Amino acid sequence: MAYLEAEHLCKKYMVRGSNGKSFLQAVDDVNFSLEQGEILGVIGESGCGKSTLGRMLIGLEPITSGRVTYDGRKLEGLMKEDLRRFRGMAQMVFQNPFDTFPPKQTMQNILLRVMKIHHIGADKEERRQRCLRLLEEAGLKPAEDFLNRYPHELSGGQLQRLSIVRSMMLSPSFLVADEPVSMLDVSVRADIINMLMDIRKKKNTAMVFISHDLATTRYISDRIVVMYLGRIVESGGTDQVLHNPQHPYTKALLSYCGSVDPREKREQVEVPGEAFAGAGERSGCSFAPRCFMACGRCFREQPRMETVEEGHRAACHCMGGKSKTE
Amino acid sequence: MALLEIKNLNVTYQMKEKEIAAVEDVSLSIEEGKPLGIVGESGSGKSTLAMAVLRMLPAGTKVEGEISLKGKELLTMPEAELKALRWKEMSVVFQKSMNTLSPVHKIERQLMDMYRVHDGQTPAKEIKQRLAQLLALVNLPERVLRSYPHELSGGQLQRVSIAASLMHNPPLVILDEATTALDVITQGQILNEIKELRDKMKVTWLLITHDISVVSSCCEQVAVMYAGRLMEYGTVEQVICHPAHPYTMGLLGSFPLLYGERENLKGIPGNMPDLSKKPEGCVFAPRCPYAKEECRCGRTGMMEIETGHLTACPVGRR
Repeated sequence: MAYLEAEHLCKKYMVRGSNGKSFLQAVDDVNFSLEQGEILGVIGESGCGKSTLGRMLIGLEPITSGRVTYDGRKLEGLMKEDLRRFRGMAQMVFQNPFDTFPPKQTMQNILLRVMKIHHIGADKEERRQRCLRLLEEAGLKPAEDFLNRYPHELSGGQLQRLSIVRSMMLSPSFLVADEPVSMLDVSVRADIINMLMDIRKKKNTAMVFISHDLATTRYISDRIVVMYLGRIVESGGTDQVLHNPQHPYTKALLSYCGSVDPREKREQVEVPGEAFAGAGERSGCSFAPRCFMACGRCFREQPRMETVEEGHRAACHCMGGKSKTE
Repeated sequence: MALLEIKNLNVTYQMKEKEIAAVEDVSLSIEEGKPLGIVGESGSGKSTLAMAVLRMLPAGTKVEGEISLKGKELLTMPEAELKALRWKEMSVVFQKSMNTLSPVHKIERQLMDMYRVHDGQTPAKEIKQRLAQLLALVNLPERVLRSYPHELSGGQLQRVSIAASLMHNPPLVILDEATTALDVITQGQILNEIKELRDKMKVTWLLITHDISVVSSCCEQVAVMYAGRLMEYGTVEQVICHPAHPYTMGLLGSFPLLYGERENLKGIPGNMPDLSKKPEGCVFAPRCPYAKEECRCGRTGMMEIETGHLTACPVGRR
């Protein structure tokens, strides 16, 4: 059995409009599983529900329907039984390192507080020593130097490292990283990615890596799911999805992914319009209005995930060159 | 004659206790029809450079050097003359340009007001025609004119800003991280539109970004900046395919690739230096893998290694 399992996960937000209440389906019937030590990349544009999904997995956002299980035990049960222990099991790294930390506290206060709350270490001195060791391990040298500083005195890359150190203090077995590098400069992104990979290697932590950047995700994840308006449209091994994309949305994303080489010419997939993320009922495939190969059936009937090859699945009626007129 | 010529530009921010050299000794030029991209990380001074060209830096900032637009010196020009130049000869689109739109007025009204600030003579009917034409250029339907900003998406608003920057046919448009906050697909589409504008409207742009892929897809010239200094300058082909400066190499190496071998990503170790302290020697030396003793003492200027390809590094050049 997989370590983490999400089954039929849904999230609806109530929207009050001029014509009464309606619901916005932020996450719609999401299923996946994650083994211990596996990294899953979740890719999508803004508003596709990827962050909501991440927050639901660790109980920061209530689940509307469906369930999440850790080692076969339900998330709600785990949280009710002992929230503190659950927080030690599942942690999160946030997108913006500049507002992850309280601005008026020194790093020492911020980091030791975590250990105090979770009863790690007998006294302050022991906690401090432990903290110094963790910082050194994370490449923040000299560690003494960092403890007495305030968040505003540190750079984005350093703050994000500290944020990861703090999340890993309790040795969680599951980590959600929500766009951990998108606020950082390119030259320090690699460090953060490598740091996360290192953690996985050493502690066998399972991770969900949320990103809008396909190329970055490729370097860290074992498997990828692509989301569009709350639904998973394609899932599979990293190379399967990126080198043999099946869903037209994945194809479009890949075709617009920037390349540094000016000589490389990529054929771009036409995607008119913009994602409609409004409230209300939808019928059919949510990508159909922008899809270059949509047929009548796409507008009537929601496609189901179908297996393309071992481990690679996609939700599209027109996959594999089925005709447009069908 | 170059469209825009920057010579030995220095910009120093004056703070209470310290001075920060945000741009130091930068010389660049843009030829008509040859868009230039400035690449750099945060704090590299690329936006400061753009603000200096627009003369929009905060009061009290020390600006030295020469900036000339079509032969007219910008830095010493009287305010009134500059006002006549703005939007007609050069315009700008910021990363958050969409936030400058008023939330309580319809787009049409706002764009008409903007038009009239720089040209009060044109009758309303003609302006409306012009606006419709502009929106078509950036692939927006006409109904956008009758909408309020909150009814439009981020990508649409950014397109409105681009249309606004083009209303008086300026030969130079500065795009300061204009597509950074947008989704991948929207960014790609807007970049395609910008490329088309080059032929349709004869506009040349100065594109400022941290994303090398944006520059390599829609610029001809590229300047790489680090800590306020110019590191490398040349055509896209020269700089990106055959980088001569270790910083450019590092930057290219840390860019994740979609295809090809999946190796470990290599970053550039270390942090940006404190710009209030004048470093001796090359500003990149503390992070540079090839740095030698000579790099840490003397500074060399830009040197030409082949026609049009300049680098600030004597070591990488060899």
